[in-house]
Amino acid sequence: MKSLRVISLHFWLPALVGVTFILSILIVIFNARQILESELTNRSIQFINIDLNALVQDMERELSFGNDNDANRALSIRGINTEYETLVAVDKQGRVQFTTHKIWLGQLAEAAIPHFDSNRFRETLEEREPDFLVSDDRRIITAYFPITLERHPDELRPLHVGALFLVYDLGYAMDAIWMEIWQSVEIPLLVGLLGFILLIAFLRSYATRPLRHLLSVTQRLAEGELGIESKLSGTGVLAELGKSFNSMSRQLKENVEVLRRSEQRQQEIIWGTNVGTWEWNIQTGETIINDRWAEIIGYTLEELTPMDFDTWLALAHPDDLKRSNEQLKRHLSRELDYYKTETRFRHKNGDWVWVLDRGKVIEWIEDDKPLRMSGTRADISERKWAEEISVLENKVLEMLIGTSSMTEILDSINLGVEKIITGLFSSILLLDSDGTHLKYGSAPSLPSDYNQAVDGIEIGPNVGSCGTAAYFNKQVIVSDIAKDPLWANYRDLAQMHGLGACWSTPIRKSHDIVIGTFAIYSPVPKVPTQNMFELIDRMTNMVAVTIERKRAEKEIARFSRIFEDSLNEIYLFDIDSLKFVQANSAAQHNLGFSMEELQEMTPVDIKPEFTPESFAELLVPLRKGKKEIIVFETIHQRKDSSIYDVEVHLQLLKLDNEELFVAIILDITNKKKQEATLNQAQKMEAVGQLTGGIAHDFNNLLSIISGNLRFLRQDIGETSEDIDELFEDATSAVDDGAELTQRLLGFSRTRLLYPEYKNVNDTIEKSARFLSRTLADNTELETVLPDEALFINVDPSQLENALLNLSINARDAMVQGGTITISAERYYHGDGDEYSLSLPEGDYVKISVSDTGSGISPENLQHLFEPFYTTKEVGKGSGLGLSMVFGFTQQSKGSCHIDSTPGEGTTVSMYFPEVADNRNIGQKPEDEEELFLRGSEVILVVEDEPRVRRVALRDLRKLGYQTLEVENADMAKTIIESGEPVDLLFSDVLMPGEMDGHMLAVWTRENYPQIKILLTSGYSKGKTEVREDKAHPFPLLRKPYSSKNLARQIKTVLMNVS
Amino acid sequence: MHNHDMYREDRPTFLVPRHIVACLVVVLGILTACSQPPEPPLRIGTSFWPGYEPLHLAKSLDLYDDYRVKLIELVNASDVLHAMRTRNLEGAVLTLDEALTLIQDGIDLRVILVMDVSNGGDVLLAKPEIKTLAGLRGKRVAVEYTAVGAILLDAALEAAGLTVADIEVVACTVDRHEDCYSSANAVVTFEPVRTRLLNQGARLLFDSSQIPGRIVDVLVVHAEITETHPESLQYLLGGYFQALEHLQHQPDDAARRMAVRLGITAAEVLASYDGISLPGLSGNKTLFADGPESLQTTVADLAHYMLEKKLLSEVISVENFIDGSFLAD
Repeated sequence: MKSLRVISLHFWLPALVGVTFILSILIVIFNARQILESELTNRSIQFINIDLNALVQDMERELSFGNDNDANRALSIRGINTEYETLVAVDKQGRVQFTTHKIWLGQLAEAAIPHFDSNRFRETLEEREPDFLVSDDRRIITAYFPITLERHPDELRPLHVGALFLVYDLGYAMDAIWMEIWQSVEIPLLVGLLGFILLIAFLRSYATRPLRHLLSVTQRLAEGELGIESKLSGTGVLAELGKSFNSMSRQLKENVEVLRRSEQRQQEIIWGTNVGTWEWNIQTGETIINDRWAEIIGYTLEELTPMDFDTWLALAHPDDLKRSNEQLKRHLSRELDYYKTETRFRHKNGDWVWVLDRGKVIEWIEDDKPLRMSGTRADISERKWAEEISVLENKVLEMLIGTSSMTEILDSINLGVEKIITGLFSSILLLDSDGTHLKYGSAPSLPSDYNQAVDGIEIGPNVGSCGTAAYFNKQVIVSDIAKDPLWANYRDLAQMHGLGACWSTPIRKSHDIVIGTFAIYSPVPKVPTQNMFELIDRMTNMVAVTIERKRAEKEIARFSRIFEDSLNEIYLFDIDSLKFVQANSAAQHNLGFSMEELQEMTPVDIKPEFTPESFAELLVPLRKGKKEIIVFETIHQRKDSSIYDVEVHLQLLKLDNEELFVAIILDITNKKKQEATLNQAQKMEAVGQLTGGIAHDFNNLLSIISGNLRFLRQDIGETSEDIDELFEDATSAVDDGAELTQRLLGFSRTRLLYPEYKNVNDTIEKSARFLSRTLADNTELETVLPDEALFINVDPSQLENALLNLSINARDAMVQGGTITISAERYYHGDGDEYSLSLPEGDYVKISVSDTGSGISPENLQHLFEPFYTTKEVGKGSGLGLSMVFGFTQQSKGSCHIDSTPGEGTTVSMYFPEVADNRNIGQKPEDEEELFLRGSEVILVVEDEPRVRRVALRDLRKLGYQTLEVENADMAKTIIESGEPVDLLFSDVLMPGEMDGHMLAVWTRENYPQIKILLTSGYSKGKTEVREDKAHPFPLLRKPYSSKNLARQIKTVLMNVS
Repeated sequence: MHNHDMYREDRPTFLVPRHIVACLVVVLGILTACSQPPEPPLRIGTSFWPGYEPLHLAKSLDLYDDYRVKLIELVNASDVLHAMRTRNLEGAVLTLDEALTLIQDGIDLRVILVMDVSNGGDVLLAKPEIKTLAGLRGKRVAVEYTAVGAILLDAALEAAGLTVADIEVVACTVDRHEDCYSSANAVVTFEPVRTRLLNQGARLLFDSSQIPGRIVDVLVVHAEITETHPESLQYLLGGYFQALEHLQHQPDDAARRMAVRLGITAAEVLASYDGISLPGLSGNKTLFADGPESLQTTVADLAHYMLEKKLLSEVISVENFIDGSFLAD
C-alpha cells in the first residue's frame, strides 16, 4: 500500500494560514501604494504646474518693473512650501539669479545645485515648455519652467529667458501615503491576526491537542500501558478515532492478558519442567534461547546474546557432536519426527553438563527446506551423574563379588570417579592398624612422587586435607591449597605436583571408626558442587564397603587358616542330628577319620565315656541358653581305639541363622603331666610354709638356749675341761640347730637375702663339709679353690643353699656315681658376652659345680631355669632348684650359666661381682674390739617374748648401755612420747598389737629422727616389704643373734651418722 | 524517548502558544508605531542678519535634516512675520519687539531661545557731512518701521536731545537700507549693511551698545509647537548650540562657510560680530532664569516701552511668553 504522507498540522496549518494572510495584506498594500503614488505624482505635477506658472507670472511682472527684490520675495516665499526642496531661477548662462537658499546666489547651477541637469535646462530654454521629471524612486520631481528674466524695454518680447528649477520632494507625501495605507490596513490586519490566533487556538483545542493526546496514549500503549483510554469526547472524526482507540486498547489489553496468561502457563510449564528453550533459524543461523538455557551452563542470557549456531557448536562437547549432528540431519531430512539427543555442554566453570535437547522443525520453506526449528533443553546432568555413579557402583560390586584384589577395586573406583568428574583426581589413603598413619591405598592418577611423599604420613590436626580429615573424623574441604592453613606444611609438595584443591572425606567402618580417607584433588582451586558431595558420599561408602569386605574376606581366610591349621581339634556339629558338619585337619589327623567318615558320626562316637543320652543331657544348658560355654574333660577314642585326655570347650553358635555346636578340643595329656608337677610344687610349698613356721619358733628356742648357755658359762666361770667341753658341745649343737633352721627357711624360699662380705673359699669349704655327709658313697666331692681370698657380698646361706641344690642335682645326674667338683676363680667379664650373661663389665667371682653325669640335651637346656621344669621323675625333685639358683644369682647382681655335654657331664657356673678385701674389719683383735663395742647410750628394747627380751637386756647392760624395756610397740611409742631420752630403738619386727616393729620404726623416724633404729627378726614371711621399702630401710639383726653380733650392730647403728 | 508527559491532560494548556502571542504583540507594536505619524518638519523662518547665521552654519555643518528642521530664508522680517501670522511657519527668528507685535496680533508664541543681544550691532549711520547727532535736526533719517528701528532712533534722538519732530523720518525696509542711505541723510540699519555702508564712508553716530539689552533677537515658535514638536525643538536647539561651539572653536572655518551667504569676506564676517553678543547654552539659561537681567524683565520693559511709543496698540499678556524648557544640557 502506498504510504500516505502527512505533515505536522500543529506547525504547518497556522504557518500556511499566516503566510496567506500576510501575503494578502502585502499585495493590498503594494497595490494601494502603486495607485496612491501614481495619483500623488500626478497631483504633485499638477500642483507644481499651477504654482510655478503663478510664480513665473509674479516674477516676470516684478522683473518687468525692475523690482528684483519683490521677484525674489515671491520666490523665497514659495520656499516655505515644505516639498520645495530647491527653487531657483537660473539665467541662460546657468547662474543662479534667484534662490530660496541664498548660498547658491550667483553660482553655476550645474555645479552648486543637486539634481540640476544642464541638458534638460537647455531643452527647456529652447522649447520654452515646462519640463517635469519624476525620479525613478519617485522620491523627487524635478521641474524646469522657462521664465523671462528681462524684456525689451519697449517691446514685450523677452530679452533674457532663463528657467525656474524646482526640486520637489515627494518624501513627505510618500510618508503620508504610507501612513494612509497603514491606517487603512491596520484594522483588517488586527482582525486578521485575531482570527489567526483564534484559528490557532481552535486548532490546538480541537485538532492538535486531541491528536497529541491520541499520540500520547498511543505511545503509552506502545510502551506497555495496556488498557489506557483516550479522553476524547464530542463528535467528529477525532472523537470517533478516540473511541476506536479505546476499543482497540481494550481489545489489545484483553489479547495481551490472554497471551500473557498463555505465556505464563507456558513459562510455568517450562519452569516446572526446568527446561530451557531455543529457537533456531536454520537459514540464517540466528538462534534465540531463554534464560534457563543459558543458566543450565552457568551463563546469563545477556552473556550469550547474540547467539548463533557457531556459539552453540563451540559450547558442545566435540565427542558428542557427531551423534547430535546425525540426529539433526535425520530430522531435517524428515527421517525422524523429531530431534532428540543427549550431549555434553561446557559449563561456564569449565565442567561438562549433560543436556537433553529435543526439537522439531516448526516451519518449512517449500515443504523440503526447513526454516525454523524450536525445542527444549533439559539439564540431565544429575541423571547422567547418577547413572554414571550407579554404573561405577555396580562395577565395584561385581568386582567385590569376583576375585579382584582390594587394590584393583580401589583403583577402579578412583579411575571411575575421575571419569565422572573429568579433570579431577581421586585418591584413597588407608589408616594403619594403630590409627596414626595413613598408608597409600590407591591414587592411580596422582603423581607417584606425591603418592610416595604422603605414604605413611602421620595424621594430625593440620596435616593437609586427608591427615586432618582422618584425625578429626570429619570431612575437610580445602578449596584452595595455596591459602589454606591446613596445607601450610605441604603447600610446596602440592604445588610441585600441580594440585590446587583437595576435598577429603573420612572412610568409616561400623561404629564411625575411621579406616582411611577418600580425597578428590583439583589442579586448580575449586569448591565441590552438590553433585560432587553426593558422589563423594557414595564413593566413600563404596570404598568403605570394599575395604571392610576385603578385610573381612582376609579375616575369614585367616580364621579359615586358623581353623584348618589349628593343632587343637575343632568340630562343628549339627544341633539336631549332632552329626559333624566340619572338623579341622587336626581333628581328622588326630582321630584318624576322614571328613567323610566324620560327617556320618556324632561326638558320642569318639567319646567313649558318653552315651547318647548323657551327651544330650550335657547339651541341655547350652540349648536353653543357661550357659554360653561348657568345659569338661573327657577322653577321645581314635580310629585305632587308642585314647587320649582332652578338654572340651563346647559352645552353641549362631551362624547366619543356622545354629551349630562348636567344640574346641584341647589335648591335655601334657597338661595332666604338668598338673602332677604342680601338685608336687604345691606340696613342697606347703611343706615349706610348715617348715618356716616351725623354724621360727625353733629359732627363738635356740636363742634362749644359746643365751642361757652363755650366761651359765659366764656365771660358772673357770671350771673343769669336761664342763667346758659340755658347754662347747651344747653351744655347737645350738649353732648347728640355728644353721639347720636357716636351711629349712631357705628351702621354703621364705627367707630374705642378707648379703655379707664373705670369702668365697670359706663358704665353699663350709658347704663342702656339709655336703660330703649327704652325698652317696659312690660320689666324690672335690673343691678347686684359688690361693687368694676372693670376696663377694652375697647372702652366704643362700650361696650355701645354691651349692647344695647344684650338688644334689649333680649327684642325681650321676646315678652310677662320679665326681662333683666345686670350684671358684676370678673371672673378668669384658665386652664380649661369652655366655649371654647380661652383666656389666668388671671383675666377677665364678663359682662352678661340675659333674661327670649324663649331661643335658640341648632341647632341655633352654628350659632348665623354668620353674617346675625337671628331668627327674615325679616325686624326685621340685623342679625349683635351678630356678632358685637363677633367682639368687640375679638377685645378687650376678648371673648363671649352664654348660652341658650329653654323656660327659654338666657344669653350672654362678657369677658374683667381686668386692674389695675387708678382712681387716673382720679380724680386729678381740680385746680391742670389746672395748670398742662398749657404750653408755639409752637403748629402748621392744620385744614381746620376755625371755628373748631379758637376754638382750642383759647383753646390752653388760656392754654399759642404759636400757628401757617394753613388750609392744604401743608402749614404746608412749615412752618415746613421754620425753624419756632414747638414743636407740631396738625392736622386734613381729609383735602382737596393731603396730608392729616396722611401723614403730617408721613412726619414730618421722617424729624423732634423732633416735637411731635397729630392728630384729627371726621370721619374715609376709613381711618382705620391710626390706624392700626403700623409703624406710632399717638395719635388721637376724635372730638368733650372738652377743657379739648384737654389740657390733648396736655400735654400728649408733656410730652411723644418719 | 517519548515525552508523552508533555501532553498529559492534567497539565494546564495554553490554547495559543506563547511565541505566537509574542509575535503578534510585536506586529501590533509596529503597526501602532507606523500609524503614529512622525513630527512634520519644523519650518523656521529666517531673515538676513549675522545674529541668525549660526542656524545656517548648523545647516551647513549637516546638523539639520530637512525632514526635521527646514530653514526658510525669507527676504525680510515682514515676510517672516507674515508667514508666522498665516501659520506657514512653525517658528521664526525675530527681534523681541517683532515677537511682541505678533502677540498683539493674537498669535500665541513662545520664546525658546535668545539668539543674540545687540551690543553695537544696530547703528545709526549718517552721511559723512553730518558729524554729530545734533546735526540730524531737520534731516531725513531712513528707518525700518520696526520696533528695533524705533528703539534705536528714539534712543539716538534722546541722546541728541532731539525728538522725532525735529527730523524727517523716511520708512525703509531692510532690503533697501543701502538705497535709503543714498537717498536720505542718515539710516538706521544693522549688519551686513552696516559694514558695507561704513566701508562707503558713512559716519557712525549712535549704536545699540549705548542701550544694552534693549535689542534682542529671539527664536519663537507657535505655542502649540512646544507640545507637538518637543523632540524637534530640542533637535533644533542642540544643532544651534553645536554650531555656536564650532564658531567659537573654529572661527575661520565658520566664517568661511558664513561668508558665502553674507556676501562679505571671512574677516568681515568675524568683524560683523563685534557688535553682537551670542549667548550660548549657559548664557541662555541665565537669561531664561529669574533675575534683574532676565529675559522676562526685558520683555516686560520692552512691552511697556512699545506701548508708550504706540508701537503696540494695547496691553499684551506676556505671562507664558518665555519657555526655557528646551534648553537641555
